[in-house]
Amino acid sequence: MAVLAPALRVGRAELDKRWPNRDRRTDGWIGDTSHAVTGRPENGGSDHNPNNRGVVDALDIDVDGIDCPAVVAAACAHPSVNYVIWNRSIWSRSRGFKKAQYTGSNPHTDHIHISLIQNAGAENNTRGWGISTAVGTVPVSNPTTTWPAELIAKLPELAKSPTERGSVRKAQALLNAAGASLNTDGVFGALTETAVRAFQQARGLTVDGIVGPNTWRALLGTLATIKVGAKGDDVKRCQWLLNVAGAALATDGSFGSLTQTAAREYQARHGLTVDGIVGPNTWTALLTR
Amino acid sequence: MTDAQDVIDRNTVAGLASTNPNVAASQGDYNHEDHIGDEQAEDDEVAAARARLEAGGTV
Repeated sequence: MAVLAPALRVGRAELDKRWPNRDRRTDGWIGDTSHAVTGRPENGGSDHNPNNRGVVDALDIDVDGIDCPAVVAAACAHPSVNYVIWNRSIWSRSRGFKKAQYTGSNPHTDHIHISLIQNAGAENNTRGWGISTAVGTVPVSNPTTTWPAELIAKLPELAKSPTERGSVRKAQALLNAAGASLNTDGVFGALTETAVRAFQQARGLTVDGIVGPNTWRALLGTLATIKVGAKGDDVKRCQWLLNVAGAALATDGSFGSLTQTAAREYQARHGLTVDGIVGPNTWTALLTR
Repeated sequence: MTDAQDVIDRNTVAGLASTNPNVAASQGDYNHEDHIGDEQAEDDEVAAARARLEAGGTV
């Protein structure tokens, strides 16, 4: 497993606390395949690659919605930081954190890059950054497996002939993923009610034909992050929801290149990070937009 | 927004097309410290933030 360094998790948490509405679209920490081929950072590879402890010691922060000079100053003062790059300039420990021109091809005008010193002591230093008041140790955010109650609460209760056609289409899609054969037309008619009742019966839920929180939760199953190569019911649910959003996928439960392309197109249309990976944010969008 | 999680399976990394568009755009600049140029005058705002921090406050 690769994990973001605890020191950087603390810094990011302070950023989120001070600027809760900051733009996070160009945040990031772990590199892509083009970085992976450069090898471990100890061997001259990118700091965005996991080191031999499985820790990533670099964080990119979107510049929108934050006070960039303040963040740069805080990073320069942190004992774990090795260097900071922002807006064509670099502040490096090797130069006493004096501002210098950054001559790399990426100007870093849309993000601040922070790299830590590559050792366990620096990575695990959870002292505050002085960006906001202390947040303490920040646990890692593991892949989620249960749907947040807040999201479930946002989903409308659906009964026969409701007006929420968009939500009805999603419920119909999820019912189909569970074995029904409904038109995903957004009309909660007799066939949909029958399918809801059958689903509730099969899952041991109260059989009332109404899609409330418990039925939504059962329809949604587990909240998994899925990508190319994934197979199973999570993928099937995703394919059905992507189809409701305009895709034309085979709902075979196999996350191949076509599903990836559909996911990327959906993410692009909805202002999400376009990575073809369906995680909590993409799932939430699929259900609520 | 990224489907952010702080732990990623090591095998997942190799399959990521682009976890972060910035990171992907940085190709060729992996060794950032190889690209340090001439020293520059510090920004007033950065200096002011540093002073606030040194005074015991937040930036």
